[in-house]
Amino acid sequence: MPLPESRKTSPSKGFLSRLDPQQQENLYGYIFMIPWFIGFLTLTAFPIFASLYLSFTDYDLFTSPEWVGLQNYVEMFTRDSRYVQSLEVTFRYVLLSVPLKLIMALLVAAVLERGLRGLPLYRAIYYLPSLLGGSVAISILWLQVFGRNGLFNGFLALFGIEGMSWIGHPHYALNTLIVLAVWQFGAPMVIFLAGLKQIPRTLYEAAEIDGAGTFTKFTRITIPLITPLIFFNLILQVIGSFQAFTPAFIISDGTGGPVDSTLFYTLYLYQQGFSYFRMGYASSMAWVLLAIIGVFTAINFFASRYWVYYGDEDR
Amino acid sequence: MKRTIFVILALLLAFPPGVFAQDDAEQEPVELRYSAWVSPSRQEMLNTLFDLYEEQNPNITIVREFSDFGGYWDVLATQTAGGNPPDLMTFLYNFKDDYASRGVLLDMTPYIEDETLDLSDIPQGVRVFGETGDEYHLVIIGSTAPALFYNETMIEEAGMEMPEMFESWDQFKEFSLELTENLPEGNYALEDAGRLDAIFNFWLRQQGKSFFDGETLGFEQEDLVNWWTLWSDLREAGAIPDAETFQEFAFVPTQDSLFANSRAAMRITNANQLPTYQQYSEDVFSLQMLPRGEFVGDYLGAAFLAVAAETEHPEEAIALLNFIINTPEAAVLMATEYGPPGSTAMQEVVRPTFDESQQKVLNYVGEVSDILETPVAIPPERGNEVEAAYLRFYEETTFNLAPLDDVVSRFFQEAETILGSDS
Repeated sequence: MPLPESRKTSPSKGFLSRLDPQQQENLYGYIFMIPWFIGFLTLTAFPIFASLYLSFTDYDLFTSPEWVGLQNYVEMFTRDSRYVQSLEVTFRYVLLSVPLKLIMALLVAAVLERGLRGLPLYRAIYYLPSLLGGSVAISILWLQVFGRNGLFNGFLALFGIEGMSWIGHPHYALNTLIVLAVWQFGAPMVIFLAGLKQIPRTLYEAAEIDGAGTFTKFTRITIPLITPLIFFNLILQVIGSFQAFTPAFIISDGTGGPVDSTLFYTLYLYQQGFSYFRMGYASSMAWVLLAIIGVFTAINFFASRYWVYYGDEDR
Repeated sequence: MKRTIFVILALLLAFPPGVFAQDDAEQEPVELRYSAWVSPSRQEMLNTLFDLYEEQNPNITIVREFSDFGGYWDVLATQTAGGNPPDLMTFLYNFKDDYASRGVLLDMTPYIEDETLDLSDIPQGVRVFGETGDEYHLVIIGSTAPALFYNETMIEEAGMEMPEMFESWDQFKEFSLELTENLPEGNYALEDAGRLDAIFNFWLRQQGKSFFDGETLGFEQEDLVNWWTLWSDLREAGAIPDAETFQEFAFVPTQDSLFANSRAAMRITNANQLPTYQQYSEDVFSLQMLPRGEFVGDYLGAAFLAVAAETEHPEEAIALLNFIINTPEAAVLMATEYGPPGSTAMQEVVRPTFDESQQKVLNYVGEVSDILETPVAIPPERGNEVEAAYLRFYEETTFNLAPLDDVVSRFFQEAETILGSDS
């Protein structure tokens, strides 16, 4: 950032004259920040605190919120069976889709990193789903892929297997959503690719001289050295998948069905807020989700001490 | 003198007489927002109707806010909460109290009294739906009733004859089972109607009970077990779609439904839908009364229009309302889209213009109106949550994931939780 031209205090602004040059520079910084800061206060901070307040109220959007204290939180954990269901569904989704996604991303990145011809093309092809994946259009497309007369069943038919409507069955509907999530492995893959390129070739060469095979090189060199990136992707993907909404909404037509098998936490929150007009309850659900994600992230950070290698410490 | 005249002339030119006179309110451009849930044919019809109105009233522009039924109430609630509801809203009876009690709907009483809104041709029995206490909020644009649609062609081809009326649900069940045997593989006797809490209510009313009774459920667990067993039996026999097929067709639009594509011979749905289904098929569709019971379970449903309380143009909104329900052109255009018009005068106007399926609807609604006994009980607050729960638990039964008694008792638990809490 360029220094102000004059280091002398400006005679016309009395206030400025009492600041040293460093403080003057900071002042300009703060002034430039004001537009963003106003936006942050009004569009982010205020709504967040408003929702915290609302989580202790009964609010149906039309009439004023009515203070009920912890009633919403108590109801969630003691009387709401669909809430428990939404937790189950969401946890299943997170605990299955994130590891699968990261494994796919890492494996494909490792294969691509070997220097395939047309690497930019493959990279783009694999990255594309993660750009489009959360969209309404793709979700609608997914209905076609896993419907009774969809692409997937067409594929199975090649082997003489007659498939059913996967999205219509409570035991399989969630799995189609997990597949949709894993299909979007492109984003973490690109990050892994970048990380893989940074591993010094000399390490591999040294290992080869010692007789290391592909598998050993991968597990003893590659993986340890990119653990920071694995950690990074893990955090991001966990946070993101807890918040998944659009695919579940579209594929279940907003119901979370069949039989609540795709009732994601956020979808249930949406139902409570916008279909049943229980904004207070929905707000408390939102804050509990924040707490859950916070706990998972904290666990991740804590555990990272044990498996992430940053290369600048003694192990 | 000359100078004076010159000045006066100049003043007259600059300020011609009348320039400060009040403009006719009619000359000011007015925008009215109108919201409705639509199917493609309904959207076309409404657009034609509004274009016609705009032609006749050049200063009025009708901003059309069409959507599909699924998201309609969410959007309306959000708009209303934001202080921004449309000027005219298509409405349903069971949402009236929610909105009216919060002062969101315009009280039309003054306009009715001075007759700018003419309700004189609407029978009293139907007119009362719009009342909330001393105020008047909803104007009926069409009435309908649940009916049993059937595909004459398909049934004939199966070598069977449709009775004029089913004297009981048992007779209906037997007929459906027999029909299933005579239909080609992959076709069903009827579409799943067990999922419709409205039809369950109908069936309950025929036994002197009701889905809701004030703030609680108006029936016993045994009733629900019996009702769901009826549909389980039909499903097991292949008379209605299996669980996955049911899911597949649960939310499809009319033109993709099993009935419209001659894959199901019967369907229970609202009478006014008949022409819409008919247009998608070469087969002959018809309708008749639902199976009879001990008491009369039939009821009239209707679509209404309401006006926003805070609208900037109440007179123009009421004028448009009046146009829709009282002018022959509107009545002819709307035909049976929402069911026969509320106004008896308009019913006579449109009768000669109706095609065969529209005539059937008109006659059917007339028949039902004649036998009506008790109106439907108003659902309690959070009633729609119970109705959503009904569908969810019904879905469970379609997959046979648990014994019926178990599912029913869990539904009761959930319903009691929802209705019992003070909200």
